Amino acid sequence: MKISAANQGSVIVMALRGNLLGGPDADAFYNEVKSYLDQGSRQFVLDLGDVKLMNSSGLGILIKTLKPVREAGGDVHLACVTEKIDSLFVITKLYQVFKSYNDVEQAVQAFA
Amino acid sequence: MSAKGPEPALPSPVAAGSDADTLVHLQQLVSRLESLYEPNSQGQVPATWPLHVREAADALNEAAERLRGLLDPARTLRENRLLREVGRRLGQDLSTESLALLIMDTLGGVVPFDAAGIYFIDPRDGTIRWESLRGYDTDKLHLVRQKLDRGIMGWILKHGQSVLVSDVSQDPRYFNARDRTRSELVVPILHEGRLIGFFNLESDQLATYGEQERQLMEVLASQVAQTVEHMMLRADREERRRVLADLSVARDIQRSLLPTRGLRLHDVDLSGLNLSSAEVGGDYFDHFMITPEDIGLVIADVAGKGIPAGLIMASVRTGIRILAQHRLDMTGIMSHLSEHLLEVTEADSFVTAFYGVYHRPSRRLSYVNAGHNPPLLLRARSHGMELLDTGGLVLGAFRGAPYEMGFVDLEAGDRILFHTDGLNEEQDRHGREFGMGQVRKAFSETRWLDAPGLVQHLLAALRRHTGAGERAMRFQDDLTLMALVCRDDPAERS
Repeated sequence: MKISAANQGSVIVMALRGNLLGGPDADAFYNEVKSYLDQGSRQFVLDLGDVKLMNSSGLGILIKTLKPVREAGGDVHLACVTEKIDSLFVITKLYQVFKSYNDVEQAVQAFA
Repeated sequence: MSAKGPEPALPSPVAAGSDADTLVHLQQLVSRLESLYEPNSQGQVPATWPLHVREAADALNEAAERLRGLLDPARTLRENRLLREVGRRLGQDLSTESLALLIMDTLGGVVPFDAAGIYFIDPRDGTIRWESLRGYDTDKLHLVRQKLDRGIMGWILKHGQSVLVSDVSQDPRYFNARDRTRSELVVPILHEGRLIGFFNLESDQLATYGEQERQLMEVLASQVAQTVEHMMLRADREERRRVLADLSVARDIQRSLLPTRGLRLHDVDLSGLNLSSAEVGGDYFDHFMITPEDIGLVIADVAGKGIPAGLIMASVRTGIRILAQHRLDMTGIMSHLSEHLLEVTEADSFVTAFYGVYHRPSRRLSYVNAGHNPPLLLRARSHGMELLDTGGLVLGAFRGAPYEMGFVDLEAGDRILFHTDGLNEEQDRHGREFGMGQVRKAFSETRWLDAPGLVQHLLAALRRHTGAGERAMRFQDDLTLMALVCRDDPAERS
């Protein structure tokens, strides 16, 4: 999995590419969010448009990531969730905690 | 005794040659000195000799003594015996610990020491994997270990070369873990140029160790190296075997937690199946009588695999069974479990679980679906399919997650398929998933089957999709299925 991050105002937009299946990749992602959090960032958009596969371990890392962000008073918005990954969020009812938007722009705007 | 003649010149430098030649040369020099200055009857250098002559004679005698020792047939024999004995034992099926003990036991007979250690390094992290020590005060063992970072042993860890110190007080690298030590010899154990351990010998005398001891220890080290490397590989293999054995026991325990047989009553038929892809999986199903009228039904999937997932699964199963017996309401049970899992599991761990209670007199299934794949209900009368998805978030993800209870009223012939994602996500060799479309299709073909037949029908359809053989009992992911069929068979009424 590859992660690229960019600032849009105070929002950190992170685009994930490849598979989110737990393991070292997932840890790297978590650590990157944590380091932004430590530097004071509170608003994150995860662009999942190029995530091909996600399993329960991948969901687990998103859950783990959301917790410290929320505790710090921030939030994580999802963007461009594909149909396949969408069904995972529907089944696990994780849309009760993750807000999802059609595109990155909407996800960023929603923080305004 | 007095000097017989003029003071002799100091002996000429010893010519380079074999040890035996050097010894002969030294002995000739000593004899020449003795011919000039008559030694006393004890063979000691008389005090009446001039000081510089006495010093020269002492030095010569010491050198000759060392060389004699080197050439001493008895000593050579002892060394050879040690090496042979170690070599022979190395060929035996010794544990690494007993090898270290053996070396320490036999070493003292050949190389003198007052304290010694043999250390082996764990290649994974560079720490000491195991050690065998002699002659250190037990209350100073922590200092011995500090030597590894700071002393001559620390130096050897970095440089991988022998170190011979005649007087430790003169060597700034020396780290004192033993007050009486005056000289030290540290020899690396190298395997294919890689440091795998070392010997450390300490003596209470100055200059105990010389080239001879260094050479002997280096020969011993090279002999030990290969065997120890093999032993370490074997120990790793044994450890893996033990882990596999543990996993196998864990799998057996986990299997013992699953219902051993289905439940077939005149009004309801239940059957389940669990196939783990790993030795221990995180899937499970359960059905149990809460009262004669109420049957508890569970299907759950712990994120992750292996023993941690298996342990969480066991705790969820126990939790639901105990809470169900206490007649706690279903949403309360799920909230309890979720909060409990938050306490005891990692932040990225969660469980998807469906818990239902089937009330036999009313044929009502009440349930809470905590983020699990919704079970499918196939209606006998309409052939319609419904999803049982009322409930809430996966368990153990977030604090205070609310749960809602759903219910369905069933009729004879209605049937429910409970499954984990291993069913719909199993792929064929082209990477195509079985998918919910095929799950529904296969399920719709089971209207005339009983619960075990329904489970087997789905399994057969999955095998056809993946191309696995008819008897294949393993898939890429864990697979758990459970079927409930409402029936009405007055003949079986009791």
